[in-house]
Parts: sequence; C-alpha cells; structure tokens
Amino acid sequence: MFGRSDLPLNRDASARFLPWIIGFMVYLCVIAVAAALTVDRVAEHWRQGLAGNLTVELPFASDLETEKRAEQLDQAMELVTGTQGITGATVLEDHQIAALLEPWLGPDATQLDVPLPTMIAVTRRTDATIDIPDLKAKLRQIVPGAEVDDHGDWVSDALAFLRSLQALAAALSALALAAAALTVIFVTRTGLDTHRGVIEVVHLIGAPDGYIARQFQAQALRLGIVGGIVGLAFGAATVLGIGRLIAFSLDAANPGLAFDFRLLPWQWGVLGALPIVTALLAMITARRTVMRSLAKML
Amino acid sequence: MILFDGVAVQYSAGPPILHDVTFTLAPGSFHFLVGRSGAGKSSMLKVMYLGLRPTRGTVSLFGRDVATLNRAEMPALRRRIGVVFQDFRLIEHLSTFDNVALPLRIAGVRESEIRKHVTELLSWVGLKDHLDALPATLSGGQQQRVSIARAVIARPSLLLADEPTGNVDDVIGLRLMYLFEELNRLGTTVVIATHNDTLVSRFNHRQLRIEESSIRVFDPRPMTAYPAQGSAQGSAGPPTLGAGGASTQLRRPGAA
Repeated sequence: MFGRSDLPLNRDASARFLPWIIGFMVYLCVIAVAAALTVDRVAEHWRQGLAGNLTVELPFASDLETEKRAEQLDQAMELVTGTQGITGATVLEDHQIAALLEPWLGPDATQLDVPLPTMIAVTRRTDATIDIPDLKAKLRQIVPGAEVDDHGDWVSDALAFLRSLQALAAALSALALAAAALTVIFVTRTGLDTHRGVIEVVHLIGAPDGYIARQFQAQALRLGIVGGIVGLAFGAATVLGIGRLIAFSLDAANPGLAFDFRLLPWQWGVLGALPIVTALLAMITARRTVMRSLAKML
Repeated sequence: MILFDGVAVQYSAGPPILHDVTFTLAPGSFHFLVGRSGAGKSSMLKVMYLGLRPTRGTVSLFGRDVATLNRAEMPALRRRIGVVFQDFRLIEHLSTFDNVALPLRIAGVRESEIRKHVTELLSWVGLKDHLDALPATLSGGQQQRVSIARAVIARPSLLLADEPTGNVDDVIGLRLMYLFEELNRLGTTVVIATHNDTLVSRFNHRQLRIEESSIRVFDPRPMTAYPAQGSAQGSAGPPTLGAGGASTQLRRPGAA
C-alpha cells in the first residue's frame, strides 16, 4: 500500500510534526465523540425512565367533607387504573410528598399550614399510547382542577438540551477534522514546493500525475495512521479516566443513582474507527491537493 | 517524427530566443543541434521534450500536434522520449541504480527485469562499481553517464541530449557517442545539442544550426550547405530530413 518513494518525503520536517497534529485532532475527536455517545446513553436512560411514568395531581378541595374527598379519590383511582395501558397507580403518602417538596419548602413542609394536593404516581406500559387530554378531561369531571403530567415537556426540554450538546460535540469533531485536513493541504503544498525539481524530472521522464500523487498520499496515510493511533491511545485513556471520575463522584454523592456511564463495546468501536477515518481523510486530501497543484504544471 | 512549423520561443519581456523555426526530422534520423552558447539550443530541446510550450507556431511529435494534447496524454508521449539534461538533473537521494531504474519503474516494468537491464547498462557505461552510490559522491563525468543511462534505459523512440559529452574525457565521449549511434541503428531518432566542433566533424551526421534565432539545416555528407526552406521564404512546406534509408551511413566509423 505504501510502495517505494522517489521523493524524500520522509526527510521533510512535516514528517515529524504532522503525526502530532493529526494525533491531537484525533484526540479531540475521540473526546467529543465519546461525550456525544455518553449523552446518547443518558438521554435514552431518561427517556425510558420517565416515559414509564405519569403523575396525577388532585387539588385539595377545602370546601368538601373528608368522606367526599375520599370518595372522589376512589373514583379517580378507578378511572386511572381502568384506563388502557396503565399498569399501576399509587397514592403518595404525605411523607413522600414532603420529600418531594423538601428542596423548596424545607424538611417540615407537612407541618406547614399549606393544603397539599393528592398525588398519584401512575406506571404505564411504555409501548401503549394513552390519550392524556382525554384522561385529564374525565378526571376533571370527578375532581375539578385535576392535572395529568406525563413529563413530556420536561423530557423534551432535557432531550433538546442533550441534543444540542451532541450537536456541539459533532461540530467540534468536524472542526478538528477540518483542521487536520487543512494541515495536510499545507504540508502537501510545502512538500510539492520543496521537491519541485524532482517532481519536474519525474514528470519529464513520463510519470503521470497519479504516480506522484501516490507517493504523497502514501506518506499522508502513513503519518495519519501513526498520529491517529497516538491520538486514540491518549483519547481512550482520558475517556476511561473521566468515566471513572464521574462514576466515583456520583457514587459518593448519590449512592442510589446507579447509572453506568461506561461506553458500550460498539461505542468503543466507533472511537476505534476515528484514526482510520482521519488517516483516510489525510490520504484523500493529500491526493486531491497534489492532483490540483500538478494540473497547473506543464 | 518531429515537425516544427513557424515556431517561436520568447521568454517574458526578453527578445525572441527562437524565431520562425521550421523543419522536419524523419524517424530514425541522427542530428547534431549546433550553435553558439545562448543561441537557443536548450530552449529548442525543451520544446521537443514538452518542457516548454512555444510562444507561436506548431510543434508535432510522433504525429501529434502537442498543442492539442491533453494533460493525461502527455506522460505516455514523454515516456517515448529520453532526455539527457545539460545539468543532469539526477535525483539526489536516489542511488545510481534507482536513478537509472526510474523510467522503467514509472513504466511499470517488473523489478527482476529492471535489475537485469539497469545493471547491464551501467556496466556498459563503466559504472558497475557505483550502483549504490548517490549522485553527490560521483564525479561530473560519472553523473553525466548516469544521466545518459537513465535517458536510454527504456529504449526511447526519440533521444534528446543536451551537451552529453561535455564533462567526460575523449575516450568516454566516444564510447557514449557509439552508444547513441547504436540506439539510432536500432531505430531511435537522435538529436544531440553540442558546441563541440571536434565531435561534430568526427561523426558524419546532419546538423541543425541555430543562427540568429532561426534554423539552418546542414548536411555534411554531400558537402553542401543549404538554407532551411522556412515558410518565410514561401516554400511549399518544411523540408524532410534524414531519411531512414540512410542508416548504413549512420553506423559508427569502422563498424560497417
């Protein structure tokens, strides 16, 4: 694939610095792509976690007798549990509501003289479609002011945020690859200038442009692979290190939140393909640069 | 083989180097290209090896008008032309062997064939012991021989040599001339630019003389000089020189 070379490209200064630049760009790509893939997993985790839940909120009606309120709650529970696709419903105890409100109202929320609504945590089959407005309308016939929250707004906001993070990562990767390509163009043009005399002779002897381009593209591929492997090695080490760090701090802060930030095997495969993609990009860029420049020569 | 019709060469701003040059070289012919230093011999060769586009006029090689050649067609044409550059233009980081092997490698010849032919030719020009030497370690004469070997290794149809014996002693010079004549005998059209009058008078070949930016053709064999019938003189067409049938006369002295 690399063949022999008539041009002493190996002795050029670029042969020494190009792998480092490509390595650095691959490093940035690996980090950005790993971040995007992790975000993907987080998004999926949230989506699945929240998609299985609904919350029904019945306002506290101070003008009703306790028996009447209990009757309304029974009717509401009956309606909810009888709805197609819903697998369970639990009325939250006061202390559970208090725990939810604690961040806003402090530990003694239930002691305050504030009417707390009745909350029903509903679980649903994720594959079932539930007509939320219809359910809400039916509930409101039983308890005026009842609300049904499928977390859709929150989830879509959060997902939009994660998607924008991914777009940012993709943009960074594209910029890094573009910078690598620009460097290859610069290095190739410098090489063409440096070896102009030899190229002229090789041309006059009858070498087609492709013969000369092959030598530059082989060099770019070789340096791209070397740089890419170095970048991947450092990038993978960084990704592993950050993953450990996040897992450690999450464990310490929140022992209950057992989320696995480690990348899946196929995701490692994607990262492993980055040096190959970069090296091929370097090769194609070098070839195009040479062919374009030579076309201007006699 | 080579046809020049009303060819002019002028570098930017300067006076024309060549002006209204018209001649034809027949396949298998052997010509010296003579003229004082700076007369335009090298420019003329450059136009012939497609290293320079003429400012005006038509140049035709192997029956193709070079102005109509597209870029992809040039390499194949150039591979039929062997060039000995005045300044050798060897590739400095390649060994003697690799320099000479280059035309064959470009042509895609098998490496075993290359080894055989290159070694044989380098032995013939007396460089058998310098196969791995880099050009910088060779003398001027040795570099010249490497350059000649590179020009002839692929048995070109047309050999263009710019002062090919300028840096070698008489013995080697003669040996190289015999090499050119041998190639010519095998069918290669040869044009040798030189200002070595001794060499020109010793070998009985036609001459293209550059005088006052134009060309005069001189044939020493009938011992008569005649001016080129250029289009400026309103002739019917460019003269055809060096008929292939004259090959017996082109043999080196004493060979027949």
